[in-house]
Amino acid sequence: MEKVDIARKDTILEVKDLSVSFDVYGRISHVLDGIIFKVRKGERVGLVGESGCGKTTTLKAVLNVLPKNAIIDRGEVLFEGQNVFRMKDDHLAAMRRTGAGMIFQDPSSALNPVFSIEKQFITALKYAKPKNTSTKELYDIAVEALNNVMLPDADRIMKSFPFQLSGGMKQRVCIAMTIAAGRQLLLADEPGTSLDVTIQDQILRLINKLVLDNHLSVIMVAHSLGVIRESTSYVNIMYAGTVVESGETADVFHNPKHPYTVALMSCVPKLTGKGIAKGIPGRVPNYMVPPKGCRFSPRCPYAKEICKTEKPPHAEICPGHWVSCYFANEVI
Amino acid sequence: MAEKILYIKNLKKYFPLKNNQVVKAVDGVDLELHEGETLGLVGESGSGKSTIAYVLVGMYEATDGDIIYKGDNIAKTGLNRTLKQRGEIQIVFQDPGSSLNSKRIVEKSLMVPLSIHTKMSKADMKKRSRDLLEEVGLPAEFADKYPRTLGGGERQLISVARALATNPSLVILDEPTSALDVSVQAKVISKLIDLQKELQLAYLFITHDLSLMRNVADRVAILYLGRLCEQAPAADFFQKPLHPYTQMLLSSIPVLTAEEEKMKPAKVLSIGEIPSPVNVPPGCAFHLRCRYKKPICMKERPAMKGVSPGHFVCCHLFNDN
Repeated sequence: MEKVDIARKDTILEVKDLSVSFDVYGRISHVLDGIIFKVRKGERVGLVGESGCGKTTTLKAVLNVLPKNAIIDRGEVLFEGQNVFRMKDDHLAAMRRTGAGMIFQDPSSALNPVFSIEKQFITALKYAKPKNTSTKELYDIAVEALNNVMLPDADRIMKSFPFQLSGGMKQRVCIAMTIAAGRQLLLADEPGTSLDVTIQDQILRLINKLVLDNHLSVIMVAHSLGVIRESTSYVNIMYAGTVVESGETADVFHNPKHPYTVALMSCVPKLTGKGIAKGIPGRVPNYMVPPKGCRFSPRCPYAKEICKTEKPPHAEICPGHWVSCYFANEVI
Repeated sequence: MAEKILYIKNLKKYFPLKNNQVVKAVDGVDLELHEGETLGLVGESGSGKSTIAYVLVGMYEATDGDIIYKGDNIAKTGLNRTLKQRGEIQIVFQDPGSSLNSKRIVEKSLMVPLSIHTKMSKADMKKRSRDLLEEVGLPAEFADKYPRTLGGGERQLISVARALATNPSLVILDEPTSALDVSVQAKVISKLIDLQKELQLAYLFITHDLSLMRNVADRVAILYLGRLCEQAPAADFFQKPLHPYTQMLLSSIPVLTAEEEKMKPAKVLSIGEIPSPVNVPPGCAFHLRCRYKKPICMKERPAMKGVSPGHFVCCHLFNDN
């Protein structure tokens, strides 16, 4: 029943065959290679992978805020049907103000330490709301937003400086600022990673609730598979700048097909206490000279000749479950 | 049972602030550790986990209480311990990037403890540092490399090798893998487990990751605002968590499988945040976030109580029966 529901929803973001490399003092580092995923309205999409696999680069590409030395080799990012790399400056600015917004990993560095929350919040809202909105109205919007993220005593919070708030409270303020501007798409970059597990749980529940209540969309980026399982409906597993597996979260976790996904899941310590896996042999490839074919092939126990020379297509092996592996159905 | 090597009794560590206030980082902790055993110490940030570790290695002097290590009380010695005592207790820090000197090649870092604790010749030390690398499963060539050219997991294993240089019997692991990815974490942890068996090491394993704890610890102790909430053998602890805080922690963990989901206690929604250790609430430190709190919890500090062999809980709910 859910499947029909999702299919009807319209697409808010589409990333098509996105490849990005970086010019590092004359040497080219090929980071993203053919990233492909979609976010529909009201959908919670996860990007998960280990550090350095290109999760944050992908998010930066979505907002078109890649650093100057980035080169977009091919592909496009369509936000509501418009390519963000081709947007005019004012259009792009409007998209960032009210269309898509980021929630960062570390709320302490996302907020400015020398301004009160009130000052930062109202400045942010000023650009997102119509020009004739009075400061009083902006203040009220901000207070309401703080109430929505379950921060009691919003007036006191507004007068506080970031150092007077705890990590969890700061993260709530950041979420409130992103949502109060009326954004439709949240880019949550490891929103709970720098927090304690009980606080992370609270923040993730809050984001889920806000997304479901207001019919927003979210791209949840995390390195923790558990976080992704509990807070997304669709997941993309990334390895070394490629999407190796994607599908509905329940499906992928129940029945992982890509050798990397399987290996990664076995490395996560389980509460059931069945011991620890030995880890994945080898290292993440050097992006200056990435493997020619499948980027996981040098570490893959099932790799054959073809894996080393030709990049596997992102193929649908059963309805709604996509895997980039030649032997997905044979080995596992 | 193996020999008891460490006995901590009523350990307190207070840090005075300028305005006559006191941070009670560790406020009356009792722990014991046996030879070859892993004790897991779990808690949120600010609960005093690392302070306990630093007092044990002598970086801080305890404010009060006793630490009996193999018969000697080392609570108040600080760094004025005998060379042997210092060598016996070693520590591995969380971030290998900053705990290894980036200007020194690996060999030099490994030779520092050797030159202090042994009377080896330089050539012997060089050889021993290569042996140490091989002991933790790294190629001996790493001796000539700088830490920045190595991966995070490899650097952490070098920190382990450095800790092993003095032949310790107790190694304190202060969040040894929380800066690492899971696939690398798995490698480091399995090596640590091998080393423990080989060398009969006792580990005090500090972490905030309960799923990891389940797989490495023999016994688990939960710390909240400088006090212990619950202490139990690992299997027992995860099957029937008793303290309301433990239940909240367990039900907050994001897990991978439905099987694990069943292990969580009925969803105890996490509420509130850990209070500042400057103003520890009166009575039970956890009562502000507890859903079972009774009037007594706000007034009286609960005592540690044994509920089954090896399983202790510090909560008024279990004090009556």
